[in-house]
Amino acid sequence: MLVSCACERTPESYPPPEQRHPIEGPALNRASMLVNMNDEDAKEHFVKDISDKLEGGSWRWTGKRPTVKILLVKTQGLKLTTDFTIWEGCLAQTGPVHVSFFIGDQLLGKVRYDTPGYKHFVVPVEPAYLQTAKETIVSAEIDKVYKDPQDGTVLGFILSNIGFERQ
Amino acid sequence: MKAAFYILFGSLLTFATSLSLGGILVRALSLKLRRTEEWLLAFVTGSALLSGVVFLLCTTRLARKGVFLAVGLVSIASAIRMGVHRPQGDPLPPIARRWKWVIGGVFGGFTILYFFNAMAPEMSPDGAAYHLVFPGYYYRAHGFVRIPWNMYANITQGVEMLFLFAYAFGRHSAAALVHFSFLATLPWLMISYGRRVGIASAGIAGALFFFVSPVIGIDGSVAYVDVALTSVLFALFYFLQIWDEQRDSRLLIPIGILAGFSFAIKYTAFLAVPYAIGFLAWKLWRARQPILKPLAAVAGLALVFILPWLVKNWMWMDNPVTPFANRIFRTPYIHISFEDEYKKIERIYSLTSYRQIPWELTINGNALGGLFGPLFLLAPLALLAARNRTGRQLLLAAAVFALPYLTNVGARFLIPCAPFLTIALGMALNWEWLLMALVLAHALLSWPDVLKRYASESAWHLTKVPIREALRTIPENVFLSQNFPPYLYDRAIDNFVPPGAKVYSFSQPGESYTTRPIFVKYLSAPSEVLGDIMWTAIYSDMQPSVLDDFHFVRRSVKKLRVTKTKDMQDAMWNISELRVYDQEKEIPRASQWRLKAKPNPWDVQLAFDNSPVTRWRSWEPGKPGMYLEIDFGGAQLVDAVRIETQPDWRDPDMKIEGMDESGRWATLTTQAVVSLHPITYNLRRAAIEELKARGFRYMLIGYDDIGSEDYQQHPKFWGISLVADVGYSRLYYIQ
Repeated sequence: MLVSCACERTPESYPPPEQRHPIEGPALNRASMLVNMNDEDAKEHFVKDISDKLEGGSWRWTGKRPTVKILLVKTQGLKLTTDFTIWEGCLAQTGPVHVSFFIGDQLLGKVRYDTPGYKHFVVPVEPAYLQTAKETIVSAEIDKVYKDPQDGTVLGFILSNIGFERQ
Repeated sequence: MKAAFYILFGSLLTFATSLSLGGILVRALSLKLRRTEEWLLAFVTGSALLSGVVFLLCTTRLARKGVFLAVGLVSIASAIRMGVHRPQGDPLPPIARRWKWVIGGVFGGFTILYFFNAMAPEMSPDGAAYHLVFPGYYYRAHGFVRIPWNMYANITQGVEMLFLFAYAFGRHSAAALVHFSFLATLPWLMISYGRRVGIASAGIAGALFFFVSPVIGIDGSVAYVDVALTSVLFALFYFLQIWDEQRDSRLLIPIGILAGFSFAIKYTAFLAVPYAIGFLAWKLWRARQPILKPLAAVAGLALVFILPWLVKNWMWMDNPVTPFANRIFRTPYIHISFEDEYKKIERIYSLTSYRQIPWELTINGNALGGLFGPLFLLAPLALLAARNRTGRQLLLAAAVFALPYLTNVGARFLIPCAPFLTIALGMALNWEWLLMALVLAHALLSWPDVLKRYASESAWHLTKVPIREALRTIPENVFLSQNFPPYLYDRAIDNFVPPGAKVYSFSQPGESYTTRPIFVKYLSAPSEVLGDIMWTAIYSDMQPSVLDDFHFVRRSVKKLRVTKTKDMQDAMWNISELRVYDQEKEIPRASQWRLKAKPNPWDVQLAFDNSPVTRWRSWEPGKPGMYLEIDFGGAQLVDAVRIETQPDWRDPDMKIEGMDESGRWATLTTQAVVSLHPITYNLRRAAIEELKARGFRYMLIGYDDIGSEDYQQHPKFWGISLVADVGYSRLYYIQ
C-alpha cells in the first residue's frame, strides 16, 4: 500500500498567474536596534552631537555627547554596543579621555582611553532602563573634546555605530 | 471548584472507559492473568480500544460530548455486568513489608507532585503547540479537520484521541490527567512483572527508578504522549512474556492491538510491530510450531490500528507518513529541505559534541530537554543483567525501543526504553538494601527542591506542588496570564481576530487556547514560501538583483526549458522571474502558456508572476536535470531568456533548451551574461500584498523573530498596524 501511495500525483502544468504590479516605496534599510552611521535612515535616529556628513562611507564625527533615539522591540536580553575610534590628533591635544555611556541619564559604564584607534564597548542592560512604548535615548559622552585651533570646530570621536544587540 | 470537578470527571471517565473496554476484552478472551496485572493490562489495552473508538467517532462526525458520555457509561456498565471489577486469577507473590514502606513513601510523594501538576493549568510547550491544539479542532468540528498548514496535525494521534475524549469534559488539564493515568499505571505494571517473573525487588526498584526520574515525571504530568507510549510498549512486552509462558493464542489479540497502537501513538514506535512479530517468530520457530497463522493474526490486528492513520494521511496529505518521506511522496505540503533540516536538528539539538549526551541526560538537562537524574550514570551496569534470560529479554526490549534515539537525541526519546533498562539495572544491582538506598537517593535527587541545586536552571522539570492552581483556587486565566505567554497571545488573537480569520506567524506561539488558525512559517510548505517572501522584502541577498541573460539564434519553438546542469551541493535552485524575449522585446505571458517545474511544480507560477518578492525554489538541493518549462501552446519565435535571481546560494550553471515543431529537444545555449541590478526600491508593500492575496490579515511577530524590529519601526512601509503587544509578541493588522 505504501508503495502504491507513492505513485506520481503531481499536477501536469499551470497557466501563467495574474501578473503583479508591485507597489514600490522609497529604499529603506532593514530596521534594527543598532544605528549604523551609514544606514539610509540613520539621521532619523540622531538627537544631537552627530555630524550630518557621512565620512568614508561608514562613519561620522561626533560632538561631546552624541545621542541617538531607538525604538526597541523588547527590553529583556539586550546589550548596549558601540564601535567608535579615538582620533590620534584629538588625543594628542586632550591627553587620555574618558567616555561615559548612558541610557537616558543612567550611566552604564565609563572607560578611560589612553591610546588612539578603534574601540568597542559592550555592556548588558537592565530591562528596567529600557522601554518599547517609546524611543530609548542612548548616548556616549567624551569628557574632553578636541577644539580646532584654526576655526574652533569641536570634535569628539569617530562613531561607526551605537545601539543594542540581543545577548 | 466546578472547573476542577469537570477536569477530574473528564479524566476519570477516560480512565474508567479504557479500563472497562480492556477488562471486557480480557474477560471475553478468558485470558489467564494474575490479580492486579489484569487491571493494569486491561487499562492499557483498553486505552487502545478507546482510541480506536474515538477515531471512528471522528470520522463519522460524532465526536460529541454526549456520544463520549454514552460510550463511557455503556462501557463501564457492560464491564460491571461482566464482573470485570471483581479480579480473577491467582494473586502475585506478596511484596516484602520493607519495600511497601519504600513504595508508599516514594510513590506516594511523587504521585502527589505529579497529580497536582497534571491537574494544574496546562502549559507544556508541545501540549500548547499541537497535542492539545488538534483535539480542540476536532471537538469544535465534532470530527477530524483537514489541517494541511501544520505538519503536526498529520502525524499519528492515538493518544490525542484519548485526550479528545477527556477534553470534551474538562479541557486541557483533563487531557494532561489522562497522560498522568499512564504515568501512575506503568510503575505498577513494572512491579507486577517483577513479581510475576521472580525478580520482585528489581521490579520495584526499577519501577521507582523510572517513576521519579525528572523528565519522566514532567512528561507524564503534561499533555505529551511519551509515557503513554512507554506504557503501551511495556504492556506489549508483558503480554509477549506471558504468551511465551502460556503459549495461549488468545494472547495474540492484545499483542496485535498494542503493537499497532504503538505506531498509532508515535511513528517512531513502529518498531513495536517488528519486535512483536520477531519475538513470536523466533519463539515459534524454536518450538517447531506453525508460524504463519499467529504472525498473520498479530500483523492483521496491528494493521487495524495502523492503517486508519496512514489512509487518513494519504487521502488528505498525499503522503501516508507525512511529514516524512517527502522524497518518495512528493506533495505541496512539506518541503524536502524542511524535512532534511528538521532531521538534522533533531539529531543534534544544541549539542556541540555527542560526548555531552551523558552529562546532559543525567545531570544538566538543558540541551536535551530534561534529565533522568544522576542514577542513570549507572545505566551501563544494567548490562550485567544479561547473565540470565529475563535480563536478556529486558535488555533486548530496551535496545529495540532505544533505536529511535538515533534520530532524535532529546531526552524524551529515551523514555520508551527506560522501564526495561531500570528493571535490568535493578537486576544487576540485586542487593536489596543497595536498591533501597539507590531508590531513596534517586528520589531525593529528583525532588524539585533538590534538583534545582545541580541541574541547569533551564532544564525541563517540575518545580513545585501547585495545589491552589490545580484546584483552581487561583483562577486558571489569572495563573496562565501570569505564567504562560502563549496564553496571552491566544487571548489577544481571540479578542482581535474575527472568527475564521487566519494569523501568520514566524515562530510557533502555542495555540491551544485560541480557536483561530495560526499558520507558522516552518510548519508547512506554503507558509514557508510566505516567510521567504516576507524576508525577501528586507534582506537584499534574497532579492532578485542578479540577471542571467541567455542569448541564442532566433528560432521557433513549441516549448522552452531552463535546465540545471550541475550539482549545487546543499544549495537550492532559485528563480525569481523567468522572462522570454524575441528581438529585444519580452514576450507577454499568454493564457495558453502552460508552465511546469521539476521539482516543486506547485510553485512554478512564482517565477512568472512579475513579482520581485516571490520566487520558485527547488526547496531541495539543486541537481542536474531539474527544470522549469514553458509550453507556448504553439510555435513561438524566441532569441533570449532572462533569469532574475538572487545572489544568495547562487549558481549560474544552466542551459536553455527548446523543442522544435517536430518535438525534438535541442540545447539553445549554455552561456549566460551575468549582470547586477540591486533593488533600490522598497519591497515591503509587495510582500505584504502577497500575504493578503493568500487570505491573511493578521501577523503575530515574536520579539525575537527575524525582522521583528522592521515591523515595529516601519509599520507604514509595510502597511500594517499594531493591534496588541502581549507576552513576547506583537499582533499586527494588515491594512
